[in-house]
Amino acid sequence: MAQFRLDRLTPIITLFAFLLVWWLTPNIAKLFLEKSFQEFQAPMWLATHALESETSKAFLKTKSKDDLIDVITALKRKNAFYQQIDGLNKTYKDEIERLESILSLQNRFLFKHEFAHVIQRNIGSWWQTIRINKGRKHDVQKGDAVIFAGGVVGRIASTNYYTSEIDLLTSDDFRISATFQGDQRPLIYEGSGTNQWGQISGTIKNAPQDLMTNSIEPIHLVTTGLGGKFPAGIKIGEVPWLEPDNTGLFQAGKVNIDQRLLGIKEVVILIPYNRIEELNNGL
Amino acid sequence: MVFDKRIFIFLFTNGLLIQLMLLVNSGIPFVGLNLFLLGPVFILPPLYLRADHFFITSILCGLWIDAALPTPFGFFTFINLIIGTLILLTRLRFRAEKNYHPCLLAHIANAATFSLLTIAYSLGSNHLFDLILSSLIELSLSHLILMMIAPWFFNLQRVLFSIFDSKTEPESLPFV
Repeated sequence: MAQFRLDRLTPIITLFAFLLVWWLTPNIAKLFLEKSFQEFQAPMWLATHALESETSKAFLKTKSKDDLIDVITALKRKNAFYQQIDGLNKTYKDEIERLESILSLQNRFLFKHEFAHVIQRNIGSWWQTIRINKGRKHDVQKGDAVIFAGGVVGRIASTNYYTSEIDLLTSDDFRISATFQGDQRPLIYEGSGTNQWGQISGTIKNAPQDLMTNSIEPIHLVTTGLGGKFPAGIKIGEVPWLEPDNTGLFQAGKVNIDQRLLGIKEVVILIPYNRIEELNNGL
Repeated sequence: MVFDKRIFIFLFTNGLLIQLMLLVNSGIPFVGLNLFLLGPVFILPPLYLRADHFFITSILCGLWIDAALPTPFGFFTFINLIIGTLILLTRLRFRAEKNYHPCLLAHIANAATFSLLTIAYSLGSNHLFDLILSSLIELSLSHLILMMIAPWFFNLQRVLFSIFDSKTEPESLPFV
């Protein structure tokens, strides 16, 4: 009978030894290891993003001068239009600040807007996250609100020194207090990932029974401002239908999210001014 | 040399495949689907390297994937080690120098990892039906693409062995 060789068990013993060591390792050490690897990978993503920008620049160089002149002319027109709007906005802002100071109201401009580029997207059936090129260096912290031209993008899930990861509002883990435009009653919004056709959506719970909607003129779902991270009135999506929920007391429904979120390139992080003041005072 | 040169080749090529997969996924967000092509990463290190070298490669590679993907930290390190150990224990049965067995193993490893991920995420999901349907579509697409990627990837690893003058044969068998 062949003798059983103990050395054949070496890989299994090593595997179990590693599992034991991993189990005994304190979480702080694992977190340190994770952050170290992520910081090491961050320059690669930034380099990839820079390469992508250079490629698009090179592509633009292939266009004829006439095309570029046409684009510049159109941009000039838009620029002039936006400059006028900017001037008007400044006037309104001054007026609001003046009235607020007369009435001794709290300042409504609570957030600093930090622009960021999207450098990586992980959007699939398991996870809906994106990575941006701003991190702790730019005062970004976990939980900060992120928005774009189409409304809410999500929340900062984790930060590194130069990069951050955002949990999109379609993610299963994303929950926020919401309300319908023109209505003050809060309800719960939850992300529901992608369906089999790759379309993103969310769901709402606890909607009041008297609300009605239809697919031709769907009602808009916006943030309430409760919780302090998102200001009130930022668009979340549109609700084309509502149905009684399983309790019979409220309504529930599906939320159609802006599909531009899938190919998003630029976002704005809302950093509370009071935190920046705290940081400055601390220094 | 204390360490086998092939460890660095495996780390480099595995890192390259992960980065390419993430780049492709990042470039096709409009379809809302993720391609999952990590199967080949698990295969050649246990077929070619000594046990201690295989463990170093697998741990580093697993940690790299864990840091790059939004999974719980350690998930891919465990999977990589478990699949690798199983292959290491049975590596006498596989021909590492041809692509047939490694490709087959890559598909099995990919499907197993994919299934584990789907199970892990479906446990906390409120939309199980949608998750399973979209996962099935992702799995089919990923394996179609893996049929092209896996042979290229294994050939690339073997070519790099030759270029860097390292051993092109697996470590002496049957002892690991």
